[in-house]
Amino acid sequence: MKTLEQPTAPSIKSRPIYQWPDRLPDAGDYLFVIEPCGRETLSELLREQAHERVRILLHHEGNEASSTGADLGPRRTEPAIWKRFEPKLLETLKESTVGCRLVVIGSEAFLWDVRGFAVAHGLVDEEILLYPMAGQGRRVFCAHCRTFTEGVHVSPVACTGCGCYLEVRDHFSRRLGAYMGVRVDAEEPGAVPQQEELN
Amino acid sequence: MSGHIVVKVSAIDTISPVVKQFTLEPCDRALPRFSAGSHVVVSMPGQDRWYRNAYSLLGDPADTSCYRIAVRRQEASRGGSRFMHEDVAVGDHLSISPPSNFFLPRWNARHHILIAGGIGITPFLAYLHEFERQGASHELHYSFREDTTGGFSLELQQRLGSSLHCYQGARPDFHRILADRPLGTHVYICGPQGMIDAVTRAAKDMDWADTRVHYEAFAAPESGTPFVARLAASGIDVTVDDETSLLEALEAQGVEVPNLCRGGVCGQCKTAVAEGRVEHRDAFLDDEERKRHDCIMPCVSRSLTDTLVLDL
Ligand code: FES
Repeated sequence: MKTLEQPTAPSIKSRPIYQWPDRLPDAGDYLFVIEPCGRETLSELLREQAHERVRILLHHEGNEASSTGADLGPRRTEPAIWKRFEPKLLETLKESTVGCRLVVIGSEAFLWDVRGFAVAHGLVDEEILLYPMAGQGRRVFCAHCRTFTEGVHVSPVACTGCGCYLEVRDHFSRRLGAYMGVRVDAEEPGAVPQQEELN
Repeated sequence: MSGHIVVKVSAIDTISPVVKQFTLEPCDRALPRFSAGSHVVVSMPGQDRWYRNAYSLLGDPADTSCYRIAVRRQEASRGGSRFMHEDVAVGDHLSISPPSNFFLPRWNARHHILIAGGIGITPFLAYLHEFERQGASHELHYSFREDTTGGFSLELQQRLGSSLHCYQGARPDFHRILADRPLGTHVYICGPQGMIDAVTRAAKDMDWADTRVHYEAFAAPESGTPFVARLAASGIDVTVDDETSLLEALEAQGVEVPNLCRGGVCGQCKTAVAEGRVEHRDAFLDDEERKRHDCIMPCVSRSLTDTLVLDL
């Protein structure tokens, strides 16, 4: 499974730890919500599993290939890619009943978007499994202009909103599904350190 | 005990042949506010000892001009409920603890299913006031034995209409009750342990997450075999007779153990055990802790050995 590498001992507490079983726990009703990058994991999980009821919801308009999210344009506090998907997910949740297990596979940002939405609509954390896919980059939230930049692989990164160079912190907001980005050259404008690969 | 409130019994209503409702009014100071699901511990002077029993507040939490409790006369009464039924008259004073709550409704739930057995209806009477005020979606399943504890069913019929389901002398089908519920539904159970077990089992069968299932065992301490509790520090032996809980026996000796619920759920009274084996009756410790026999919840649990050495 090409999931994110499981941090053995998280250095920063606010980075979520994921527990993804290779085999899903037995339940009578599964709802899979996935991004295209999660297709392989989905089929592996389904192979392992005897299941009574399975529904799969694929989120197409993901940001699989984007590097810095430049083509997505800036957006404030509300994930724009989410807009068209939301009614579909809502409808699916509405026809779900207690006992249903939600399995989300995709980029880390997507997982937390779906998880937040599901909890707001009545699911509890014990009923949600999150499978983060490696190589999808991070969503970064600019602490200054409050814009999200998607699919970030390096730090510092240019904010798609204000253009500032942001240092990508390991502090993760579950509510925003994003890592905090803080201006890197605040003290000495223009002094932007070498970009480093994020893990 | 500090923090106690003295109240005056201003009314006693017979709800059924075995259930009486007591209305308690403040004497020297205003009654504290309480949340739905709260209980108070009533201290009752018996002939040779004090009884302390926990009772849910069943009145409207928005109304602090009085508290209301309902007491079911227990057949094999350890004294507390018999005292309330036989010795308490209008105008009497009682000493109660401030309210505490281990059974709060989950306010983010989208639908609340309440399942009550007998006198276990009491915390839900307070819930219903809040649900009605907030317009929260709810339904009540109330099971009771004929002519005994169904005394509130008439009032409930008026308040709940079609969302009240009564089961007289019959056990509800819990699988049916839990089937096909919209996401965001939570279930609450208050009643005998057998009922709590049956509902939690049904919930498990149907893949309900534990966090959707809430219960309060209103079990008062039950009688058991007498034993001796030895206090390690002082070497004092405290005899615990069949009708007295370990907590009560310690209190009678002037040994104060912190406590809140006196029903084995809050964990406040946890006491270290140095020697002996514990008959665990609480709902607080987990299986691992139980197996170690190195601690006890003295409000409900007892000893399997003749002597239990406590780290007190
Ligand atoms: S007093 Fe609450 S568990 Fe004993």
